[in-house]
Amino acid sequence: MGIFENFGLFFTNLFGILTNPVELLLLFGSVFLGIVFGALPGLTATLGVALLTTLTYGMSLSSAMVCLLGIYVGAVYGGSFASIMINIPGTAAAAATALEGYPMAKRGLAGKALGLTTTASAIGTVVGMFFVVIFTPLISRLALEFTSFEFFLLAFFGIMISGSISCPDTVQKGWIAGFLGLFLAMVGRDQLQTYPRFTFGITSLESGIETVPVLIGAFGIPQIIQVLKDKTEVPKSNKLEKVLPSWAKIAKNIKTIVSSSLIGVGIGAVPGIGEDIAAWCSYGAAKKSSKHPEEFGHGSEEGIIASETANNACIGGAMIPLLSMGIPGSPPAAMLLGAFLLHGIAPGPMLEVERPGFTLLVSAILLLASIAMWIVGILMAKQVVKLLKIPPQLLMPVVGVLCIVGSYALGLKAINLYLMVPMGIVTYYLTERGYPVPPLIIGVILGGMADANLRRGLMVSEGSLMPFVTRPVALILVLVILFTFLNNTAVFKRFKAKLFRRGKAA
Amino acid sequence: MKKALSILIISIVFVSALFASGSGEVYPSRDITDICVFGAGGGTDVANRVIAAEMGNILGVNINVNNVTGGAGGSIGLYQAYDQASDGYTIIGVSESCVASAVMGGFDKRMNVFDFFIIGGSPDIISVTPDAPFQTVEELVEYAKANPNAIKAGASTVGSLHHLNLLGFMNGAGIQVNFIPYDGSASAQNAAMTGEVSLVITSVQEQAELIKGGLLRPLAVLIPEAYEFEGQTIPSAFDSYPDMTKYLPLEQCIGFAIKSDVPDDRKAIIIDAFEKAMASDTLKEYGENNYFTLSGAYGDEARAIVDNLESVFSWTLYDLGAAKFSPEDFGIPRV
Amino acid sequence: MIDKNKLRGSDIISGGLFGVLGIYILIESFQMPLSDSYGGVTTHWYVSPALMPIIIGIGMILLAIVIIVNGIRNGGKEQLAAERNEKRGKPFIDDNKIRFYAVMLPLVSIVFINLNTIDFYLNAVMYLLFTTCFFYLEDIVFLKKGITIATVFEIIIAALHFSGVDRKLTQVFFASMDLIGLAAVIVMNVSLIMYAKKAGNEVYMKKAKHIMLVSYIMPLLIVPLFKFALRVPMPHEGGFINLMSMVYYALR
Repeated sequence: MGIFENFGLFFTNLFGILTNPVELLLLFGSVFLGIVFGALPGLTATLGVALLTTLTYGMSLSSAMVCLLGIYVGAVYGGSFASIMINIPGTAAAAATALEGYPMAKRGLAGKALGLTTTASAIGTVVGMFFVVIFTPLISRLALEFTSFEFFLLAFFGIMISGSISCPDTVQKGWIAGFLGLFLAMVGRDQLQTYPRFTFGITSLESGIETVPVLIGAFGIPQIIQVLKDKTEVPKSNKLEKVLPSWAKIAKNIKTIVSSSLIGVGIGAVPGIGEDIAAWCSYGAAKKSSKHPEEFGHGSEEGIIASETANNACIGGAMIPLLSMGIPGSPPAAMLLGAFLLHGIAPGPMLEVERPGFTLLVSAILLLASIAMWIVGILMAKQVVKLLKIPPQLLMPVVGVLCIVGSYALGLKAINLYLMVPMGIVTYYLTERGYPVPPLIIGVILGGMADANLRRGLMVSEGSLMPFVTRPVALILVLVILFTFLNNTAVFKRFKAKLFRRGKAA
Repeated sequence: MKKALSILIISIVFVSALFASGSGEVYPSRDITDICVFGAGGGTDVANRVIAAEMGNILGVNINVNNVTGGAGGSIGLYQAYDQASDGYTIIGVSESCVASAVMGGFDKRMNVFDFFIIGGSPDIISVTPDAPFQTVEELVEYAKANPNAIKAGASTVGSLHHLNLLGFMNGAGIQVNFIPYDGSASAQNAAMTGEVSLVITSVQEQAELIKGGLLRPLAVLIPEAYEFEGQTIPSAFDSYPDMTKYLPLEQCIGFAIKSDVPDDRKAIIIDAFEKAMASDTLKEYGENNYFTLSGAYGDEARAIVDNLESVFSWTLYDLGAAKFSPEDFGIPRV
Repeated sequence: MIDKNKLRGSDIISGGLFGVLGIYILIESFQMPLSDSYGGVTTHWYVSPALMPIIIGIGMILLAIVIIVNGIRNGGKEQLAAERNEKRGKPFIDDNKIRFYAVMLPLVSIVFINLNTIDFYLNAVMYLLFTTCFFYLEDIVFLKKGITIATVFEIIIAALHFSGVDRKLTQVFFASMDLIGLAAVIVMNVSLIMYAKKAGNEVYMKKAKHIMLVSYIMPLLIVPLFKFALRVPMPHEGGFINLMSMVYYALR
């Protein structure tokens, strides 16, 4: 198919939806629902897509895709609302946003922060969409270079980097929190041999600890305790004029936007790693390359732009392996795979032959969803700022109920709640003592992957550690990890300082 | 005070209303819950959602699929469903993996506390990567006999259907391969794409796209008859290795279950809806698109299938040393 | 977070706790199959399920040692001693502890005590009413009074639930546990209004209204949203949710 034909088909899809009032309504409705889902702590994009899948069964393929992609895009973006307003990431992907957005809101710049995240998310989604159309074959070939060793290293790298980046105190505390998360991920039957580890004979623990209750417990509960117990003031609301970000700001940060989009798409295309890692990696990269790294952690505009652009660009990235190989690139994409199958779409190498134009339909919807998200976001931002007028002593208990219902809704089992509350208390204790939470969460999410892939890799190599240095991608990852580690140790720092002094003297 | 009083009055009113409404109910008059014991988006979940929608139309109520995952062999969902009243308002989305729950230390009862409705399943197939030097299953077996444990075979976790099929194939053909477990069929196939393993056993449904794209070469199916796949005939491994009938076939078996003590008149209504749904075009289309062999078994027929699966899974896991309890503890006979 | 300069003392304790956890992980790990065949896979050291836990255990112990040493070197010991001196002579139960207990009591109750025995709507109302009564009024006298009421009722519910008596009661009448929860709500609400009236404080009356609005209306929105729109069954469906179902099916 020629490029022009593709273009034609793309716009046919676009106008098909735009001229269909029902689908247009569904688009805005599901994007709005997605934003609400993302904004409410405990309700994730995955849960949103999952719950909506059932309801789309009776719809036409195009309407169903509009709904599902709409709620996906909306929910990934919506996470930033809670991050900025109440310092509880609505979704894991918005955790990095909280680091910068909340201090901004504290300074009375909530509207500005929201305006920036809205535009950044919309741009990110659109960039992601371009990659879906153009780079699908290329990215999927790269992703196929990843064997067990690389997956292990990637997971390990994710934990290391988030430990180094998010730590308020010494870096060892970040890493040890990551190790705690890894340990929690070990609970349950292991993925290779189904040997039960650390289950204390409790059957409910055999399938492991679910991420969602841990996430809600770790982010929601300490916040509730702090606000209620310590009378922590939640920032006063901002005036409403500044909700629209000045386009000059966006233009000024164009470099961050481009690199964050690329990171988001790249990480999205790697199977199994989703929006949360994309946001962290992009945030880390932005901090490293920033001219004002000292602003990070105190409300850096670059920081929120980086994290929000990347997590939304990740959606497109996650669609690439999903469409081209039938392998979901992120947890919500895994849910989408189920929805595709429900509608008789079998994603894979033959998709374009069997369903010509399906990829283009998906990209057209992504474009529309990002526009709808931008419109709804700008309108909603005004409403959300109003949320701050609710006294925290009334708002936090309601958040508490939502946390409980949210943790329960995904697994429908009491064990999730029994884990969530102690998890919250432990995290409260740890945050009070300067241990960061994000590495713990990343550890829980990636721990199973790290474990299974390390052992499987060694199984394939029959115990040899050579693949770590002989496989090119693995070698690069090893070097990056070593650098991250050394960069944060005292010995290396002293060595660097010495070098620096010598250079000065000479 | 007024507030408190009004609450009290409301509560008394609704309580008496509830007492009045208890009896003489027509089944089904409210939504039915389908507790699917595996995750959303998986094979069991999707099949259950399809049939739930179809049966819901026939029964005139919604059948809501909820995923209650976790435990050993979906035991958390099994327990939750088993704890519900036997009124026909709870059905359980299950697959063949549930039958091993008891010996794995999950659900503490045999599967015969449930009545099964089997939608079907996709047959297991042996495939190799295109660069592997084998064109037929015979060449593969010859090579494996000469070089034991040289071939790396990927399949999902220990004790899964595909692992048991691999074991059956190894025993039936008298060969040894190096089994590398993955956390699912998708990752096993992905590993074949990256060259980590050269042989995979997954279902036709899971492999279909890769075979069509020429990324995997199918050698044989693990069912007694040859399989027609998109105009090409894939031979049955049973033809060359008749010994295999001792261990196989072990077919995927996705469907739903109800508690056995649901009243017979309600069972009859469910059976009727199930039969109609299985005969519908939606299900047929779903079967074709997903390379499903539709079964439609229920009652004694389904019981026989599940009993066989339960015995094979339980004893194989026990013999492998991966089971927590002996199948004898539950009175599961060795077939 | 505690003031950064005061962290070194607490580092010694938290680092120690991590060290103990690391040692526990190692002890558990060495009891896992390290060689031999398990589940049809021949286990070498590198396939063992213990491999990753051992790495985690060692890593955790090493990092804990670094944190403890860092704490001691930077004056952590002195800080701990100073804190101990400061605490001496002060009453064990202070305002801070009471407030922490007031946060945890409703939270622990809703999850660990009420979850499987009291209707979830009522459970949510109890959580909201208790928490908002404790904190929104910002009155230490009522906080203490409210804590007493909530603690008494939760002890009763816990005693009934964990002794298994609640199942016998629900056999007699399916919503009998809900009545106890309802009683707790009524007692709390009445004493809130009486306290506000007695204080004769306009602000208190207004706040009491807000409290009731949030406590009764929010769950009335959240529960049906999940139960009927998203079709998620609630943890325990007693009298109130059954009533909602009746209304829902009558209207549909």
